[in-house]
Amino acid sequence: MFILATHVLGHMLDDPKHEIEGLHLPKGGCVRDQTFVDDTALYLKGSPSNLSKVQAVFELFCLASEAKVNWGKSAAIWASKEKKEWEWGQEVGLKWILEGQGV
Amino acid sequence: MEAMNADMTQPLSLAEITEAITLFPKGKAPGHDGIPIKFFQEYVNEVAPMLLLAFTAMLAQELTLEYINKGMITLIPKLGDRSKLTNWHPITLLGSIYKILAKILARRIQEFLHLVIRPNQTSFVEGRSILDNNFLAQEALVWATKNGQDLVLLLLDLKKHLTRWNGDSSSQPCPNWVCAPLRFNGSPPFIGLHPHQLK
Repeated sequence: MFILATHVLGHMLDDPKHEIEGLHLPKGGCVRDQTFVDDTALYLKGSPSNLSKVQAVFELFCLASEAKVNWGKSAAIWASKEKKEWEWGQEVGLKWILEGQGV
Repeated sequence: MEAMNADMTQPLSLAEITEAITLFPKGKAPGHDGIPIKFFQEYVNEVAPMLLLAFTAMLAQELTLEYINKGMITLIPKLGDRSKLTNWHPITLLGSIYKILAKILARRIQEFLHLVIRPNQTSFVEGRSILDNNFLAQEALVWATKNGQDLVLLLLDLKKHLTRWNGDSSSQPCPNWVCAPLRFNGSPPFIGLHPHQLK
């Protein structure tokens, strides 16, 4: 059952119409999600607009599947040479793990 | 597609049943009929032909599944105060015959799973491992930083929505596949239950 639901979720994230940018791989191609049963890890381009698009997809997915994202128990890891100069997700209680703070 | 379907729906064979029986780990708890898998393994040559007849009839819907689709819910203590119900974990013990049939069907499907489950999903498919997720995460963090991509690795916690039923009369109730009576301290369900067994 989880497999079916996350299967749909994966296709929604990969759907070009949602314009979600994932991680570009060295040999071309793009990865956006990886799941183990219902544990979902998303690989996303770090920009507020990209993250908001993801959130919109999740709202749709949750509406259809009756799932709920527990933002308070979710975490975001920032990986970049640059410092993160914007805020996102604090209103839903998302926890950020920034580089150097231990992963 | 057609070929896959033909492969998965072909008649059961004796070899298939024998093979499934030998694959089970030993020493697991039996279900409501009290017959452990070990019995089937010891007498595989005797019981496999009987199972073949029974399973074939069941799959053809000529024989009811009533006997084998029973479970028995048993409580296992977790850590902590055992007078609290939340410190007990329920498991459903299923009968050996049911497990053998389920394994046979699962093995048939398993062969084609990799074609229908996206590579992004690393569970339940032979040859995929949860460790793949760890490796990808580590490599992704290194690669993104080196390559100058700003990466956000978002780890989501989804509430277990598929394991609860919201009780809304418009939604379908759980299908009645398995009937599972509760059992206390190893006694048969609701029979011979003495007060001392309800510690």
